[in-house]
Amino acid sequence: MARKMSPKRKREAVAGYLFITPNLLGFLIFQLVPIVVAILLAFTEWDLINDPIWVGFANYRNLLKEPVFHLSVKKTLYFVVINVPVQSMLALLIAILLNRSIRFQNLIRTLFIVPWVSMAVAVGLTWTWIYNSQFGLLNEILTRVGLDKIPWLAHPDWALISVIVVNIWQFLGFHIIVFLAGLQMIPREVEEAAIVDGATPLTRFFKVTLPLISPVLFYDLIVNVIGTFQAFDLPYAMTGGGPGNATRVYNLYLYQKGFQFLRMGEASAMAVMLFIIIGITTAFFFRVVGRRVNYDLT
Amino acid sequence: MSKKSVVLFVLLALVFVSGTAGAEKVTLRYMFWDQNQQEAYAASIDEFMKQNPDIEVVMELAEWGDYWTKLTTGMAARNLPDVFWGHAAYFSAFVARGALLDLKPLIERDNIDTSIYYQSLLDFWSYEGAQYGLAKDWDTIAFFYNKDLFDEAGVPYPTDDWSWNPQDGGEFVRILQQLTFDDQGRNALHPDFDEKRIVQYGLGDLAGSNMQAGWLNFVWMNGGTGVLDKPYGSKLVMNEPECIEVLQFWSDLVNKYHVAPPPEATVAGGSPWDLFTAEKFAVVPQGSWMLTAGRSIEGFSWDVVGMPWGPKGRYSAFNGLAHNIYAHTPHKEEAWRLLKWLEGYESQKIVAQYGCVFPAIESLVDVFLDAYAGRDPENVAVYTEMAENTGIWPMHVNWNEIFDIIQRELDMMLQGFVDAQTAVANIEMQVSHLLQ
Repeated sequence: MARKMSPKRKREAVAGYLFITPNLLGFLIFQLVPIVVAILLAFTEWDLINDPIWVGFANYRNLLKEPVFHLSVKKTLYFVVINVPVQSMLALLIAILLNRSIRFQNLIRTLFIVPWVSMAVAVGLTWTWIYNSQFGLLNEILTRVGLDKIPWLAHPDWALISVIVVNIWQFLGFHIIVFLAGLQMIPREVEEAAIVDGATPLTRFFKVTLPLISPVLFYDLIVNVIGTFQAFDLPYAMTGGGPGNATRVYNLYLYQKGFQFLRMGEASAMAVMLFIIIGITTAFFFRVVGRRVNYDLT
Repeated sequence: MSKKSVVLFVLLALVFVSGTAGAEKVTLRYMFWDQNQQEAYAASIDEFMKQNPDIEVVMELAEWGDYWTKLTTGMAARNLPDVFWGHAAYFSAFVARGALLDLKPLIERDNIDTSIYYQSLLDFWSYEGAQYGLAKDWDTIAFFYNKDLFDEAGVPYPTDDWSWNPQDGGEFVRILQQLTFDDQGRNALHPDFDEKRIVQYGLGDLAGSNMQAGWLNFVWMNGGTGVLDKPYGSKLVMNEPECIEVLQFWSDLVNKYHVAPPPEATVAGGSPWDLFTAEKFAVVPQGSWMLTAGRSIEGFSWDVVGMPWGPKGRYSAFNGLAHNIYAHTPHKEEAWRLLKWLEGYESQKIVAQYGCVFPAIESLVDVFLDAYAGRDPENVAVYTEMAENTGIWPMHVNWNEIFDIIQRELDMMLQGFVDAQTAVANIEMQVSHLLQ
């Protein structure tokens, strides 16, 4: 038998549940239910128009046999491997610079935030203009200074990296905020003690700053990996996956499968597999990196 | 709830129910994608609602880019517009999955005279003996050209008998070369022409996705069959020598003659239309549906000319739209009344007066042409001449997926990474399992 609660505690508990109800309802209706439905749909063939037909594991078998599916996995891994370290390190560097009192601090911070709060499709379309191989701003500048045009989005070897650069730039602001918050949690006394002990700025960074913000670094890494695996808007708006299949990342292919090719069962199977891939990657980071994280701030 | 409030509630509910039952107005949702036609169809639908006071029609505009996604997700949610525009390229996917209402029994019941329509337009909407649409309009392809750019280059305007061939491009390519300039003002025929510094192109819009207004017409003009052996055929015929030759020519326009930009330049950032109106292209192939958009051109004068004659004559895609009815609409009768009105003579006459699309009823074409009296383009009637010859338009239940592959591989070819032979081989390899 559960312990009896005092009337006061009971009221508090009810209030507490009431407070989380909107969020919980939102999660149940807009997240949990679709997730369960997607897991079930992954075992069916569904064209969105007729009723789903149960096909067991056929969707998974078909996908694993499909060259374009493997290609989209590769493109996505490439995206993650380039995007995550570059973006996080760049953000950390900028956050450290912005953490000092410099001139126009607020203006500079705002400039980094603006792309993050802008609509990804608008950002993507703007960049297609900048990148346009024939009439774009970048190539215009290159030819003005006497260089050859670069096929930013036109060449399969360039297109993905061009998209990644925009992605890094767009979400830099978010990661900067995360790191700034972490940096400002470091007690001043610790820094001052290090200075008194005669530590060089470099030593201070590696021996004081880095260990003290390691929980924030770890959080950012996980969030970044999960987010990058799900990259969709920019490739969708900038290249539609082309040229050829050069930028057809996982989620873009998933979207096309479901809504363009009317194969919602296969699209659901892809979603389930992505869920598993992200789960494994995150678990890996928790085991390998998570242990080295220092949660003791004092 | 107290007894009193229950009674009150029931009374209120009764009033509400009887109130709505008295009006008995059916609301139909009508979805379409072309803003240029909104005014014309609003006028037609207003007239329809006047004559049918029991029906309220709500027009929903969804841009072309979202339109098909909205329809398919709407079907999944069983929440679809009752009447909507159909397009030949997407029709096959929907009809084969039972999403559309067969109109044949209704056409027979109401004795609709279908002989007033172009027969080939009606054929688009028939599948396995059923009929899923009448005909809303038709369109063909011709070239829009910027007269000012021709004048500046000192090139005479193209005449209706201009021609091309896949070997050396013929007159067509000669004209385009004189309209393509690098940043030093040298045209593509100049010995020092720098193809890396082109600022103005003779021709625009060669993307692999541009089948309807682009490469397919040239395949037909070279004697090729097209993409599939027959509508709903299961054989890819792009490997015919006549087709490969044309696709290579299409690639040559970009990579050898340098008279057209690679597809990326017109897909990523700026539609071909934007670049034409920005005077970066002298000539662009355009469907007749773009005539309305052409009215907003400012700053230069323009006209239309028929497509250049190929080795086997002159061919153009001859497509048309129709209104379709959602198979599971709860308002079948009302939707059919709306469709009957929209495809009927009176409505097509109202729409034709706005001059946005050619009416599907032959006798109304002059009404449409009258809308262009005294304004650009002068030569608008050329679109009716382009309707004379057309080839086999590809239709297939997996068309969305097949076409995605075709356009990707053709873009790789147009970007100059593979030749036509390889591109077609790549397409064949990937589509074979979709064609069965």
